[in-house]
Amino acid sequence: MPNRKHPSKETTDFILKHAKSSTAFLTLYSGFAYYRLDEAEYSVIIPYMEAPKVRVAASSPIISFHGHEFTAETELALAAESLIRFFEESKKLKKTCVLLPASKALASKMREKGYFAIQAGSEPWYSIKSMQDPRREILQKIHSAKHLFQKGAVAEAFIPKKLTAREHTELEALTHEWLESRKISPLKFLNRLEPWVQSEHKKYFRMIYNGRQMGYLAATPVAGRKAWYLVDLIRADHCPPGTTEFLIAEAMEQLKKEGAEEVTLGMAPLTPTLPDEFPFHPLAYRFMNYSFEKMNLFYNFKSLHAYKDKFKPTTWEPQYLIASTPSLRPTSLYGLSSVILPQGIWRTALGGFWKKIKAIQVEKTLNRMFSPNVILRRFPKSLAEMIIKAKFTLSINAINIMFFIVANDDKGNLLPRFANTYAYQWTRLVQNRFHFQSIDYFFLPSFLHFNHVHIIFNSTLLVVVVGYLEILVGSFFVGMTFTAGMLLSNLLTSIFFLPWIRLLAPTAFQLFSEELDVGASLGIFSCIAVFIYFLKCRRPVYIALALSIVVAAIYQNSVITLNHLIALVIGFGLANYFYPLSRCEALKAKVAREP
Amino acid sequence: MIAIIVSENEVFSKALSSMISGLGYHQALITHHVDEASFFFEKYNDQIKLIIFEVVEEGNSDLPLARLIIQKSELNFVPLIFVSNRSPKIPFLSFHSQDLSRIDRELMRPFTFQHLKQCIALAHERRSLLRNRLIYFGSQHSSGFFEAILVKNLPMHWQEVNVLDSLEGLQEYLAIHSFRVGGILIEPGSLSKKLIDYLAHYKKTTAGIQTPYLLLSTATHEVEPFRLFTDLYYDISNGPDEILSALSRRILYGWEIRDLLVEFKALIKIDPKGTEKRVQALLKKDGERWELRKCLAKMYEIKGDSARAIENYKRVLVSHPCDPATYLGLIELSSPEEKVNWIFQAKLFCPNHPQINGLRG
Repeated sequence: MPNRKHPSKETTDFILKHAKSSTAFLTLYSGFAYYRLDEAEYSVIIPYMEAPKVRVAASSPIISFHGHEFTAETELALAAESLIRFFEESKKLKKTCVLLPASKALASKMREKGYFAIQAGSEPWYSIKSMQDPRREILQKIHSAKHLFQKGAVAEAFIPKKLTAREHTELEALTHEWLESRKISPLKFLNRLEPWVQSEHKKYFRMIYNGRQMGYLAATPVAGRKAWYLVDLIRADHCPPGTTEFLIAEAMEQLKKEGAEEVTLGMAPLTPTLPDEFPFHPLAYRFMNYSFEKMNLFYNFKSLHAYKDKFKPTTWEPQYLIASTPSLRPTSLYGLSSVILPQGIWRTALGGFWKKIKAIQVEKTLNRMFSPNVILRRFPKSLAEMIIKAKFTLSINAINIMFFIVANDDKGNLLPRFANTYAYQWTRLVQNRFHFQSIDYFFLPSFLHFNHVHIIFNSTLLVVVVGYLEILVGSFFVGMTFTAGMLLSNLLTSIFFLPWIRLLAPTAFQLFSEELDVGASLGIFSCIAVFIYFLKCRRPVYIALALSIVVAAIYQNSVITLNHLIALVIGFGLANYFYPLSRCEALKAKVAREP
Repeated sequence: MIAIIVSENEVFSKALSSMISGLGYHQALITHHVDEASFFFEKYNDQIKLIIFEVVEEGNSDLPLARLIIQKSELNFVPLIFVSNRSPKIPFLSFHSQDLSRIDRELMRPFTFQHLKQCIALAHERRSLLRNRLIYFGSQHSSGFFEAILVKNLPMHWQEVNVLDSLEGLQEYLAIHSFRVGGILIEPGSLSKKLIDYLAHYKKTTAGIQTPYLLLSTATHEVEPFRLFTDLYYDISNGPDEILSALSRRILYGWEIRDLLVEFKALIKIDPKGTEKRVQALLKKDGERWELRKCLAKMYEIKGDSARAIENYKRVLVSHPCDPATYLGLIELSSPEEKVNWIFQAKLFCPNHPQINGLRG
């Protein structure tokens, strides 16, 4: 039987009326085929999906008895027999079969007959019939849900057809947001998210808080047990804690009022193995238990189990995988994975990695290092926006490169005529008596660089630090700071330090006053000072950087190296003037309000 | 007091929310959704005291939300601040010119906590200009006030004086115009007990808290029924000009001064010099604000400058003769002879205050 787009009405009615497995309803979605057996006293349907060389059954055999009822044991025997016949027929078509999920009773029966069965997980069942007031009992257990209830959140049933267009759009946006937040790409088979399919047979509940829909769930019937499966549980990314729990509590309350006896949240895969199961497949179970504990990178095995356990289920019913062979063959596993992961394991895993990378909120991560008393500009949303916002930095970089091409030789070394004419030197400045032409001495040196290493280092710092700063505070302020550092650092260094040199080491004065300086680092260091100013822990960073400069100056035996220190001071001064962060105003106010 | 932040940017919203909490707002609600914002406006209504929103680019969902805020008349009295990323030189792209006038201040990123505080103070000041109606209870001296506002055209923000003479009239007027009322002037002797009780009750409402009452008398027997809820006391001989100016400044600079007053006790411990500078700077804006004078007196008292402390405490009593803490300060600092006089005066103006009652003099 080929996979069909939609089941027939007869099949739909059959499954709706007789299914005892929670997953049976989901086989009414598109893509399932149905194996049917009609006998005099009963009929059986086994829904399944076709995969290459494998048929994957999605529910225990659904049995309808014609006339009188049979005992549970007889029903079990019939289910096993039907399953075997399904296996045999598939074998004729050279296909192996896998059934997931199956009950423990059916698995044991099939095991007796020589087929492979392994526990794949557990399903929590909640007996709402025995609860007096499901909503109150759950809210008592889960404080976040209770708190939400007390804050005025409302959970209610709704009918999709009666939603307004705005409400529907909001729910669709919610669903999309939820899917984007998942670790891996959407799964298929019984894990599909299709909340509006077969909606006439489902029940829906939503949670409204502060005038907005924060989450919703869809419940599917399990008529054979007078139960409902809360299959699709969707919440907004920014919903308050307790949203889904509150929704589940309300759903249980409403369903109980309508006569339901049980509710399930669906199978939690790879849950800890039952002790009596271990001897059957010790190695496999060991691996599965290890995966449950440690391998939650792509699927939240452990947290999913913990979440469902929060509601204190009446029972955890183990769920099994049954294969049509004595052992689980690679082809069966491959077929099963191709049905659940239509993109394949590797593409799904890679997709998961990519999602993780995309989920890194760059702005949020970077923002953590900044002081809470300043709000900087938002991080650009695209590369183009980043380039536009860092226009000053990129322009300066371009100018530096142009000058490097003109002023440096083939080996990358600064040509002597440029060094001798345009590099900053205190002696030359004094000799020219600060004439107009000497203005070049202030800004031209910043665009010259001694060698390759010098320009690469400065360009890197420029792009990484100054460019980022420009994105955060704007081109005008960065331009002003860079220019101030560039123009004033050398001059102030000479004015401040050289008199002391003359006083304390007069023989060295001549040497130090003839030191040359080129490079964009002065403007860069001024901007670095501004960047550090906005950090949470600015003081130690300033101290460390200042000490490094001093140590470098001593090591290189160079006074002019201290111009970087002056550049830091200039940057700090400008930042402090334009963006005063006086001893934590917010902290003062907070202290004032403490009792 | 609730502030609403409208932005899709989570990082920005949270950072701003944290800053705003440090400014005395009890709650900062974050939204970027039209329905949620509407819900907040309906639910919290008169508790909303500030809206800050961010519009990043045309077509962003914040824009229709921003327009909704601008069009809601019940929010006319709420300061509205727009946070932008733009450079100062680039003109507005997202708003039509009529929308612009509703925005009280623009705050450009990056900004610090101090910039935010300053911006909020200026926004409040701008919004306060709408509270330009006065209620006058009495009949004898109302003409002087009419003249001061309508004829003399003095530099203050009052536009209208409404003379009322009954409880029903007052209730009716306040029901419609409460947020336009910038002050209530009361001629003592003209009010029934029912009316006085109503005024006391109104003072406890959200609108009433922000509406200063000014009693046109400083006589003990006339002050008595009003002393627990009146903000200012001026003798009519001060003249309508001075009275109206004092009231006007009280409204316009109310937020900035309130902010200092709330933090004052902590600030004098953490940064006494800075606090004194702040108080002095605010006194330049509203020199007769008795609360500021009291703060200044307290600071001088701590510093040990009794003479200046006494001088400032006395100035407090000029516009608020019923403040027990001022009397206690004066009694503490004065000479024994003056102490007796202050105790006597304190018992006259603050008869039921337990500490004052316990004083012997």
